[in-house]
Amino acid sequence: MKSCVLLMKIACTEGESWRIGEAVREKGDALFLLGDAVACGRKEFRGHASSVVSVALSRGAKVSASARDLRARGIEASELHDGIKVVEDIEGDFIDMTMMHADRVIAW
Amino acid sequence: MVDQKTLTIMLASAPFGNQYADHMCRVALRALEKGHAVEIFLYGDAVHAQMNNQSPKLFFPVGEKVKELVAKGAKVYSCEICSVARGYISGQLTPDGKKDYSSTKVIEGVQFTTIFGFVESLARADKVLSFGGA
Repeated sequence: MKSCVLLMKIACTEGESWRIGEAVREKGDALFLLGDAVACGRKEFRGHASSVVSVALSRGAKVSASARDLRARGIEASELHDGIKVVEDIEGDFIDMTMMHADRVIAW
Repeated sequence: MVDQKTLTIMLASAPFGNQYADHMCRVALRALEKGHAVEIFLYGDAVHAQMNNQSPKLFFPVGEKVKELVAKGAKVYSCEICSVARGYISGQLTPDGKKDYSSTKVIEGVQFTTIFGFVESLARADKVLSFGGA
């Protein structure tokens, strides 16, 4: 079962992070970081939300971050975890994954 | 062109207080551009996205995007009870027994329904997304 998660805010609690992390658990799953959630991709980011990204990457899931939202927040691509793909048309990639490939979709 | 599928979206947050309405509009427009059918249900404070003549200046132009969504073929439904509560429509019965959904405050093309209409939309959907609310 392929999962696709659209994360739009920073997960603040251990419970939120755990639920999102459990949704993105294997190769072929995808995590899309949009809006404030792009900050979760920073290597220096601390807190529960950072574990969502690092766990997803360690499990082989595809992690993408919105280039537009990174620019808006002054975050450089070099600040992100290795393996995060910076995407201009993140909505397009998300729609392709959601409509054509994913069995389960979560928007958070 | 891909196989057309139907995406049903619930928006449950008002525009401008956060970015959920912005994200919803961008995702819905991209789905339309990729050839999918899109149905949107505005619920709770999200019905403010249907307001005519929004002038956000520095914010994402949600009203303009809702117009664009309608123009590009999205079905945009709004919760009738939520819209009555916020003064967009009267919802009163007219002499011919229909509910009065006429309003100058609402973007043309937005349709009114109840939560049961949303359930029917869910039944037509291949995929469902929700934005905001929590």
